[in-house]
Amino acid sequence: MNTILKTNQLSKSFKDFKAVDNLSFKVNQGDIFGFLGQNGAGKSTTIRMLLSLIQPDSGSIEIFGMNLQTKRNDILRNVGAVIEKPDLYKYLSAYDNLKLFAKMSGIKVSKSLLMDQLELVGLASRYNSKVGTFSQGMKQRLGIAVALVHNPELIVLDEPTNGLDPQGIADIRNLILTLSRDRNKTVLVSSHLLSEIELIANRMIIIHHGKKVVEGEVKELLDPSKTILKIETGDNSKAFELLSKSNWTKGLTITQNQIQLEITKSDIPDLVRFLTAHQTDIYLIQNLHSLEDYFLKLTNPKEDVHVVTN
Amino acid sequence: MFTLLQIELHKIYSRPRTYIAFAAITAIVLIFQFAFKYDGQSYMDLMLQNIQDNFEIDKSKAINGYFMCYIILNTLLIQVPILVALVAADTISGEANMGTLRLMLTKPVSRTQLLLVKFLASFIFTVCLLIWMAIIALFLSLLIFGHEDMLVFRVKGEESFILQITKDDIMWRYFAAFGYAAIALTVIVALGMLLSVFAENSIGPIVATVCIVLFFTIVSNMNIPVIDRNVKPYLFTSYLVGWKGFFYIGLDSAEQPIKGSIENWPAIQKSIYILLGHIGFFLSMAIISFRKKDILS
Repeated sequence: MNTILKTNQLSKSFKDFKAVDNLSFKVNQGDIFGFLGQNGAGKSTTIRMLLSLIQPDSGSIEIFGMNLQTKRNDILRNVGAVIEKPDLYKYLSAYDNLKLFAKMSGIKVSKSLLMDQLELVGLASRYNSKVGTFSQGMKQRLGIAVALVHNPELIVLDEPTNGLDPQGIADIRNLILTLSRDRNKTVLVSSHLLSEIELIANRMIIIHHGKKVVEGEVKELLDPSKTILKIETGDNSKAFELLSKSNWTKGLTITQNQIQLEITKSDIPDLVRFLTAHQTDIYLIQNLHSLEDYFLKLTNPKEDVHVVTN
Repeated sequence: MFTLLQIELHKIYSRPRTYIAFAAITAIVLIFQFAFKYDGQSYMDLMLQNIQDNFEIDKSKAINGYFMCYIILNTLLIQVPILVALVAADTISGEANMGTLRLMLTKPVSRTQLLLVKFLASFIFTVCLLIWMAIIALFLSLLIFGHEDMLVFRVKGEESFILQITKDDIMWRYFAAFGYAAIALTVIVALGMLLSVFAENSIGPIVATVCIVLFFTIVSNMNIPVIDRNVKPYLFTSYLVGWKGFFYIGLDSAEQPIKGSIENWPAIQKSIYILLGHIGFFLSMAIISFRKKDILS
């Protein structure tokens, strides 16, 4: 599988606030890659770094095997993006907005191409209407048309369903699936809703406080045979230390009172034996069952979660 | 680059706001022309009250198309920087405010290229504004008031006097004056763009540009020796009215006007260089800042 996008230890701070912290992940060709995290987790900052809107403090970004810093224009020729709500020129028509951004993308623009794109997002009948008269959903769809008009290989959608009604959300979801299935596009889509990502993505990453918590195949992460385990021991710090050096480091986190990690159910007895063999008293061991529980727990702002990235 | 420029011009001229400047200029010029058509003599009486005894002037001919344009430019070229600031200071901040800046910058266009194109588009807008001014302040005035020799009232130090330029020696001076005004107003464009880079909404940079221009203009007009020597040479506003130099005709030893001459061409040249220097400085600062800017809007 070709890697389309790769970040390496990406970090960005705004004054004293660390928005993104040593974030590394990769997106493969053809992926619908879910980028999940609560509001303020660092998703938009990361996406803006991927699009060269924000300069990282450290780390690097490779897209299509090229360094973003040195080959920005070559890369962006093949990237389409909608960042948060797609704000367009309200005083121009849908057609003119699309034409303008298509020209900026450096492609040869024809009326049939533009109308095809508007048809794809269901706005062909409103091509001549001023964007100022559009609903949020229509603007979102036009934003996606703008992102797709130059036929990019990689499409980056930052919270594309924000502010949409259920029908609008379903339409965007179907469009993303169509793009991946029928046009073989790679899509990176961010959301703060696990349920959204679960429905469309094949791979995903969860970030929290700018750090990677987990990355992998959605199927695998949501596999019922795999679970998120919550453990309370007599000495959580010592247990955390032990586990950090073991094979069970995936999703390993520690809070004040508990340790969490991702594990295959059949491995749980081995883990218990491992801890007891190292003189660790286990007071509580609990399956959190679903990734959603884990995600909700993880994104609870009252908890102070420490993360070991892998 | 040409495609980008077309896009920028399309955006500027699709916005109703753009036409405020044209409408404002038209309204002011028409008011001037109406007022002078019906009561220009009162103005001339006022201007000539101290020298009527020394000169024989045909006042009916003194108010002509060339004279009208000079009077209008004297008034308007102080206000036009405000109108130019409305567009120039909105170029980046307006896009940031609308949220379109982030979308533009995800396209394969470098930030330097984008800023230069926006600068060029604002410059073209400024030139269009000046051409419109020339059409209605000069050519319409010539149609209404006719062609005659032009009188220029001039104050130099403690002295005030009148210069007379023959009608066949005027038109080139207007072309030169409009050319100079284009350079002078481009300084405002560059300043507006520089301030625009730092803001996320249009109001701040527009107000800041206007305030800077007004403040510097007030200081430039202070006739205090210490300010004349130490401050004025460093303010770009001191050079904004340099276009008048094209109407200060050179005099021979008998104090007679020399046709086709300018009294102090080196001073005009120096002013042009200083204005170009300001444009270069403001634009470079804008490019450097814009290239480093994190787009958070």
